[in-house]
Amino acid sequence: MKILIVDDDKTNRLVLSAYLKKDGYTVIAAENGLEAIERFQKDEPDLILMDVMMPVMDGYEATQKIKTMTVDKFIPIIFLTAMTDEKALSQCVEVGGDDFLTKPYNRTILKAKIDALERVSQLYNTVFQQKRELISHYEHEAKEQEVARKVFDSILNPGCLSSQNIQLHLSPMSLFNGDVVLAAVKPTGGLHILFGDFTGHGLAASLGALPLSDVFYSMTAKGYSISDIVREINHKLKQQLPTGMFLAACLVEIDSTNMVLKYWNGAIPAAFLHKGDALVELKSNNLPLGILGDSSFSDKVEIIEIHDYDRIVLSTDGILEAENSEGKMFGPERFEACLHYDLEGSSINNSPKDKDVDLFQHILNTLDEFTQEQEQTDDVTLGVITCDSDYINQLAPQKGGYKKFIPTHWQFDLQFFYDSIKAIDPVPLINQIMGEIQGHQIQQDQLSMVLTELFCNSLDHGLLELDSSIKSTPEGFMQFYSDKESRLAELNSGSIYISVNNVPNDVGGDLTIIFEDSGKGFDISKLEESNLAVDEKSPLKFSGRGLSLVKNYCQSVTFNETGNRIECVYSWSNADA
Amino acid sequence: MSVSCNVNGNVVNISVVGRFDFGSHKEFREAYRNAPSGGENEYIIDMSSTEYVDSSALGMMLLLREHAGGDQANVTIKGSRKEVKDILIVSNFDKLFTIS
Repeated sequence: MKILIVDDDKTNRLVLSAYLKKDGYTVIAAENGLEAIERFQKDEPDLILMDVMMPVMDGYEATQKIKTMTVDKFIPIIFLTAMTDEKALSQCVEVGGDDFLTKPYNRTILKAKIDALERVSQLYNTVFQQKRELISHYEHEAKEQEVARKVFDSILNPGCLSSQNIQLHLSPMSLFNGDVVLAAVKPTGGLHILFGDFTGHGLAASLGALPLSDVFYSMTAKGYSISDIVREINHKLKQQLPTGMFLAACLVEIDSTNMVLKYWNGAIPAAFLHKGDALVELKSNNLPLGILGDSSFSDKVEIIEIHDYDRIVLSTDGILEAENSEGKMFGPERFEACLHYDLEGSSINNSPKDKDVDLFQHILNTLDEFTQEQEQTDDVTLGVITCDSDYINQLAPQKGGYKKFIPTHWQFDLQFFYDSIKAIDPVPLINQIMGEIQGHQIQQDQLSMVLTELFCNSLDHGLLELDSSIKSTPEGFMQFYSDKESRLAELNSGSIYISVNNVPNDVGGDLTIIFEDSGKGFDISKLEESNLAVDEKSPLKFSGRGLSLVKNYCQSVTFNETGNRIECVYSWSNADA
Repeated sequence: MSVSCNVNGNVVNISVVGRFDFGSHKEFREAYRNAPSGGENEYIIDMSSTEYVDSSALGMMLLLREHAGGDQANVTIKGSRKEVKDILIVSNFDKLFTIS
């Protein structure tokens, strides 16, 4: 330990220096305050013994200056003074001195004071060092998050989140709260939306977003259903995330062609469908993703009929857990009450104070009023999606693929027996095969829609013998879907044969698509009649819609006499050209 | 928040008092670290004094379930107050734990 002695009296310096050297200290000395500052800067002593009255600069001034020079290090200064009046002594402490001793001093007491202050100084310096480390760790983390956010922003596909019918409140750092929102246009039209919340906070919570968005976007683009997607996400997350880390998620499909909403909810507490005159909770019937193994996982989706301008309200738990100054949480009751805002016939808050404020803004305003603090909304992820079929139908799905293809002549035939029909959806498979042969030259949105309708026709009416006329009432509509599910489960025979043939032409090609089912078929003349009876203005325009779509997009559509084989010609032009 | 753990033969009693969130991570894991593991043991988590659970806490409960034997685990959550129970039910944890 190095001690600086500051005293204008040579004898005092020599005596003190001799004492201290004997006790094992390194000693340096200065004759006045100014010299003390110079020695202090040059030799960096660990402790200073300071006289008060000195020429050039006194001990008070020197102490003040030295203390301002040592903000991040503790250098104890002990005043050694012949003065005994209280005012002079208290001034020693006021200017920054740590202790004082009046001359003549006792050697043992001086030694004890030096030892005590040495311990204090060690403690201080440890704290200072820890503080420096903490600050540097904090800065490092902030920098790392900033870099990670930039990387994530460029990797994570924004999908169609910027679509007009999606209102989203998402803080730039939400990813580091574990929140993820994804949205993509299906190749057959309609939207897939995922609202997710990973366990925990920080970079660890955000890492799972990479495989998640990968699976979500690529499977949506290939035409897979949300039940296939949710199963694959669960599989991937279970495989890649450690136990204890999982994703609470709600996947929603807006099928704007058939006007149905399909959803799978695993632990998202605040998910609702606002139907204008009723509020339907999109209930969480599942564990979060990444917990269950494939065999116990359920990919069962719930189906609800929707109408134009119904709204889907999704939020992660940030909104429910937002606290006010009294530590009360916003909670599910207040959230749900918010949603009654512009609900017809609701007793709560039936008359919106300000018609200009929509539901989305109303929820955020109510939350702000509750928390009284703007920054609370940083942790809140809220989305309101409006089911506007005209708008959704004109959204273009994302394209991928870089390889150059030219239209060629090819054909493939596939046959699916009843057990494989239960297990797989052939439409994404057909799209994939065509994608391998023809790249993304064939615009898949229309074609996927045609294939989906053809497949549904063969399955629903051919194999399952369902009657789509029951779909003309809302009750029958739900009945149709539940009948379909139960009959499909019981199906124990039959098959669907699919053939796709392409003949290239100057602009692209002509696809001949054949679907043949092993069912009894039907009276095709009846079909023509019922199809004619479809009134586009009628609100109950459910049946016959599929076939009119197919007719709309295809050059020709023909049934065989028995009604179990349909052949369509679909012309495509090179989408890359 | 505080976590205590009592082992009585092959019955393990864990009690969580206060807020059960990310800050409890170490304490919760320490609490059952030395308790017997495997499906032949009965685990009881007493949540009657738990004020709040967040998703990290749910994650910790999954880790405990793994310690207690994974799919063979016998873990009961008892006494949880309504707010806490709601969170467990929304997350469908009643499929993995017995909630009494």
